[in-house]
Amino acid sequence: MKLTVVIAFLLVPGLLTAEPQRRGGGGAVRAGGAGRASGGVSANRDISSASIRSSQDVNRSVTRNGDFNRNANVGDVNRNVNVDRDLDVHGNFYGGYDRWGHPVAAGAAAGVAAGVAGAVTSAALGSTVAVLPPACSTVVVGGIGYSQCGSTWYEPYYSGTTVQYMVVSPPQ
Amino acid sequence: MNRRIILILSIWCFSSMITVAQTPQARQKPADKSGAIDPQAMAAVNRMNDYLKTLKAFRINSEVSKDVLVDTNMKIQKSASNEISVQLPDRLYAHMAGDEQNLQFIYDGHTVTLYDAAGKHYAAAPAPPTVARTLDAIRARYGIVFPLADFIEMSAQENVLQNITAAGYIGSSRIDGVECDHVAIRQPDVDWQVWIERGDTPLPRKVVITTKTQPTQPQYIATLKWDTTSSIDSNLFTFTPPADAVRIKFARRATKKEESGQ
Repeated sequence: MKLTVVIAFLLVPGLLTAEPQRRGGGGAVRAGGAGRASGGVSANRDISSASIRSSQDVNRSVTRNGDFNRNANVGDVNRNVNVDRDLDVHGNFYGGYDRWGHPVAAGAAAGVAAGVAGAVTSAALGSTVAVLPPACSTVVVGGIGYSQCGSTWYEPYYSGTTVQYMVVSPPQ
Repeated sequence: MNRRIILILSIWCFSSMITVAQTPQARQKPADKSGAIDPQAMAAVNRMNDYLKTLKAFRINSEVSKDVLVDTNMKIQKSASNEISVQLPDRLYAHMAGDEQNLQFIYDGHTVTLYDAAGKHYAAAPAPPTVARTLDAIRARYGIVFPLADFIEMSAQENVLQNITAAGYIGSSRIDGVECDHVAIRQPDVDWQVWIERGDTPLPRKVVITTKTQPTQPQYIATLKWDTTSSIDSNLFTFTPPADAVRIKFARRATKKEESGQ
């Protein structure tokens, strides 16, 4: 009986020390899970801020000066390009980036994704690629350069400082 | 005899329980020193800010290292060399040469042009009338953060030093052999460090920006070499497209997506 009490007391500190260690382990697992969840797209993701100013501060000053919408669509792509959505498109179906962040041509990436070679013809309007498929020619329409690759037309544009190619209807 | 052993063991057990229970709190206390703004650190940063405001034309050669993510969450460091020329209030030029990039950025007071010398593409768009407003506009419209924009904005009298939650003076240091004050600043989204030259020309010689909003805490690191005396060739600020260059457009950012990836 008395021995049992002694053993019980000896065990209690052991349980208490085990508890924080178990919590620490749980935290590490959660951090890993969060990392996986935020990834998933094998792209070259430029995520480090090159400025100490917050985007909110910059947007406030641009709004105050009326500089955001002034001259809208002069020299800009005529639609709002959702950068996040474009990344999903490259990663899943069309030309994008390989797992080490190198640009991959549209044909090669489509072949890998679909399991067949040269599945380029089904490129959907509005989808974008980082690199054009082979054998394209440049055609200038209205002062703007387009790339014609077989029956598919691409309009190059700057996404940030990176050139991307959006599938468009044949320009008139 | 048995009772004494039990008593001693009980006391030992309770004392070790108390020690175990106290340890986590005892560890948390020293870390909680943030929130302090060290006047010596702020004095150094303000000295730099005030000196930059006196500059009218200058050139910066900068070596940049920047973390990007590949393969879900692996950090890779990219490198670039930037040559920047500024003539206030309305001329700006940068040559950015790095991994998979060879870009020129030209602003002549009316138009911003981004020329990709490797792919022979260029885009041009109307711009606000000053360097400071143009730097803000290209970031808000196109998501383009001009290299070392913060220091250029400081020279253009913009109030960049906002939202500082803590500032610490780390000590004296040497960058490129020049004695500097090393300062660390905390803001809600970024922590940054700057190495400021000591003496009559308190210029930033190095900057490190750590992005805290990303789980991998990526860093942007730049070392800077300044030329504040040589004259700048005004042809630098005029862009003439090469014959084989193709004009393209800038993608305007969706207004609801301002905060994603810089």
